Amino acid sequence: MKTFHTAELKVHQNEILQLLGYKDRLPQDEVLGLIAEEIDQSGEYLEPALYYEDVEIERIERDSVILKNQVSLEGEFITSKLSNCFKITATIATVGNKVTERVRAAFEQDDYLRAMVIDSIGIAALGNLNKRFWYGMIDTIAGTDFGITQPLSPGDTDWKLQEQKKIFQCLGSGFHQIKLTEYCLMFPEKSTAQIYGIGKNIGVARQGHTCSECSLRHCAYRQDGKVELVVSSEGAREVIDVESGANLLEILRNDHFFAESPCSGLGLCGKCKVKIERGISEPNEYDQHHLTKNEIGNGWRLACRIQIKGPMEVTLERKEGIEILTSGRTRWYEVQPLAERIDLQMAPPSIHDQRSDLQRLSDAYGANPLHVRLEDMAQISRTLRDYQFHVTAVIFQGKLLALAGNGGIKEFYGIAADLGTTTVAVYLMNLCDGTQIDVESAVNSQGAYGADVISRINYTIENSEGLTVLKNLIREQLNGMIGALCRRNGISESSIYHMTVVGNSVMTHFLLELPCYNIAQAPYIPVTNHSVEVEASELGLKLKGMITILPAIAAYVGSDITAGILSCGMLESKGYSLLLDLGTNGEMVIGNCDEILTCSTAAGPAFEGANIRFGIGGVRGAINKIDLSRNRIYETIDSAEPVGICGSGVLDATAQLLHNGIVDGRGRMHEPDDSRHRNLIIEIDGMKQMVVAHRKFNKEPITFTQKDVREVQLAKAAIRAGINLLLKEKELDYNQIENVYIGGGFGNFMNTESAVAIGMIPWQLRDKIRSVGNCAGSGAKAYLLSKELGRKAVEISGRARYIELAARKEFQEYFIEEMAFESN
Amino acid sequence: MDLNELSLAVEKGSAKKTKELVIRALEAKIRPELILNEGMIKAMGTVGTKFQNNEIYVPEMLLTARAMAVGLQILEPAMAATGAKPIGKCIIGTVRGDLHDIGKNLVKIMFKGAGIDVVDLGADVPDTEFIEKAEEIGADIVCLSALLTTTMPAMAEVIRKFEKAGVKDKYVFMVGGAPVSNSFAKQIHADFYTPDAGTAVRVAKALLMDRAGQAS
Repeated sequence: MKTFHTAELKVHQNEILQLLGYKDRLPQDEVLGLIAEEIDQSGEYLEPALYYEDVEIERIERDSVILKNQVSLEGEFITSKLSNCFKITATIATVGNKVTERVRAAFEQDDYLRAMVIDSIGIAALGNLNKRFWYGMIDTIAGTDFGITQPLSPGDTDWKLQEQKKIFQCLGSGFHQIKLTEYCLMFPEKSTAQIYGIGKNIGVARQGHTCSECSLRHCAYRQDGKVELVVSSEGAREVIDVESGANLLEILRNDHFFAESPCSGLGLCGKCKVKIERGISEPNEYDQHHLTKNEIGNGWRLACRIQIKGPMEVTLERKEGIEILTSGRTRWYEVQPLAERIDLQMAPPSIHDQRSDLQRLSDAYGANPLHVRLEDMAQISRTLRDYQFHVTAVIFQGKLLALAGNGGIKEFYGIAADLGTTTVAVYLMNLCDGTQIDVESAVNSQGAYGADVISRINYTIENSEGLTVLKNLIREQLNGMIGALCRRNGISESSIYHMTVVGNSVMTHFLLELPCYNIAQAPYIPVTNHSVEVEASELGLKLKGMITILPAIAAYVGSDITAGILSCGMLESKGYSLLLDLGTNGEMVIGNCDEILTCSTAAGPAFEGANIRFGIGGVRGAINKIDLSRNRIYETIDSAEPVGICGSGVLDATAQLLHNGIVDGRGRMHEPDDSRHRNLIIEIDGMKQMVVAHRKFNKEPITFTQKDVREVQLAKAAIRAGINLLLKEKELDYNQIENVYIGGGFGNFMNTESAVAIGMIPWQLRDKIRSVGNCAGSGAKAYLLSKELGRKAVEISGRARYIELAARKEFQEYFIEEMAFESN
Repeated sequence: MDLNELSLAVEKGSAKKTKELVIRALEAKIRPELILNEGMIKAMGTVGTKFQNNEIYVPEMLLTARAMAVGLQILEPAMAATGAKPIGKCIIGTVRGDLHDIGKNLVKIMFKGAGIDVVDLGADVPDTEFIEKAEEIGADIVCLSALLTTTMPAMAEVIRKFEKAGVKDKYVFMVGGAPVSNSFAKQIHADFYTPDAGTAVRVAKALLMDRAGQAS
């Protein structure tokens, strides 16, 4: 018999609320207060202990499993559960008797509510103890082809309660505090006896007790109709227990499966399709709207519209990593980081010079006095003396971040991060010489909660925990990415002293866990546009130093644009330039060395693949180029088999259709006159569409539809109207514009010829277009590496003017004017 | 004085307010039965229905029951003085071999809240104690609870004792507990099985009202 050692058990309010039956709302404060109080004291009355033993299975008979120790587990239920296992792990767990005594005492004082709360805490703690053990077991088999069953417990399934005795037999003697009475009542009452089956290729069950298998039909804690959901994704198979009636997309998101859902589950985008292998139901109107007949016939359905009613098995489409823009335009500036590494030498103290150690250090640096974290303060005296008052310090704006003997801080790094709505890029920079060491990029893990910022804000409004969920996702993701950079380059997180962060205001608000609802609705007010400077630990980020979020300009012109202005080159000339940052949102800036004018338009996520019938992000296999004059009219990223059309392909498709007269100036698609293109245009369910390619795996055509053309019209009109308005505001002609800087995820991959062809960018500016790569990331690096540019950033954002397009009548006029393709 | 206010206080589970309002109602010389029926039992009914419909959960029901109990405590002397009787008497306990008493306690407080006199025999109650106590106090209802499949047979044993003594028909037997079911209740000759405390109190009240109706 072995003993499982674990840290103190934590119980969460949510678990208690769930046990008390709360499903859709919180109880009144009195109940919450009571729960908090009892959880607070739970350390005193919970006495967890778990014992276990592995026993091999000798043979399995028709209705019994014979173990090596000659104990025989009886019954059809347990036999079928262990049918593919070769051994079991038997466990006995308890949280002790104090909890039960406390419950009884509360009942005796007629404090029924308290009694129920304590009882629930006991149940939850016991559950957590078992879960912890189980997760430990799962960890040990990770990466092998072994699998593990759910916990199996006599009495609450069709496995007879009397079989508890057998589990006690498996553990033998050696523990005394848990006893079994002749009625199979365990003492202490809050105890469990469970086994787990272990076998090859049986998959890993992910949830515990399965209520649907349990024979206690009226159990107060029964989560009615829990059903089994099997999810296959990229070759892995997981078994999850879900509540009947739960939404499939929500379950997938909660369990961190990547299900694309740009519209955040509203049934609008049709992207969250999954293949139902078992437990399929009739297609609903959403399925019919977004999926082809063939897809429906093959079992594809939209996850967001599925309420799980019975056992189900689904397969997720394979997702490739997105191609992310991490290169930016390089600019020259003197490397003088905000975090300074500096040698300090001072005279040792004497009876005539009794300045304190901190004073001495501060005087040597020339600050009065240095701010020091308390935990570092304790080390100062020792460090100064160990190194004869000759030390190296890292100081950030008068704050001491590190102190070591002279020449002792060799590793001196910074991080610049660009939080895009769609993608996140993190750069590891050497603060000694300003070189970039490495970069890591990934799809923003908040993507499952909506493709655009509004859907994500809505998620935080509709779910009380929503903001916390999104905050945790981005913080965990940043930690993961920083960790990966550190490991790959053999450096320690504690040698990173400063991190700059840029992003649109919603992304930075989420990172800071600031509420965003006022950003989502008129008059669009963020909590702050100012630069925010905090200790990394305050944001739960695993580095030693400070975090700076660059200042923003307005709710929809975030610090990423401040960074872009800083790095694109606009500030270096008296002549005016345009900066277009085309990503999920379209931000536009016009300015020169003296003034900055900005606006932002909801170009819609059309260019990021949302709202487009076969639209996808820039993943492997995405069609990124279309040219109707060629034999094969498309190219894909990495030349992989085509899977859908990404933004630059969408732009090309529109431009090519226009060029060949298949789409007219008003955006209507026609039968081509040209025999060459006759087979190009087909009609499905009454809608004209261009066949671009065929998917390999199901031979379905990938098309670009009439409706997609309409989406492009809306997006391009918004961008063009914004440009027109900025120019009008400064009463500038096209020929007075020096440069058009194009940045942002989509902006850099698009074919500028196509952008001009559809009139998104005025043809007069065609020759002035310069791609500036990820100008937001470049700006974040600039801020990190140059005090001077940092100051400039603050200054820019302070005096930049923002034009709210919604408040401008002429914007509507321009927008409608620009909807057509004719004007170029 | 408006008894609706009292009814609302009970429904919201505010013990303090309930206490205050009962005292005020008594001072206003409202008949205790009226205070009980119109002010309190009505609220309990509303809460019971809401619980049934999943509009409120166990903790809220407990708060209401607690408010009810506090109100009753004040009301009791006045009721006794007017000669009013509780609507019925009940004994309750968890059967031999079983220590689980949460469910049983919930039923107890709900019954008390409904104005039923409850004698709680506790847990792991010897079979004979049920019949002895029931006879002694002249109970109307005998409630048995068990949470283990292994202790369910003890429920049958208790009822058999009543049958053997020829007094089974004097009482209504109600059974409950996670493994218990309607068919099991029938099998052991219990009169009612109820899945939760909210249902238990409704059934008990209805049948006590019935009895009162027949008696008068």
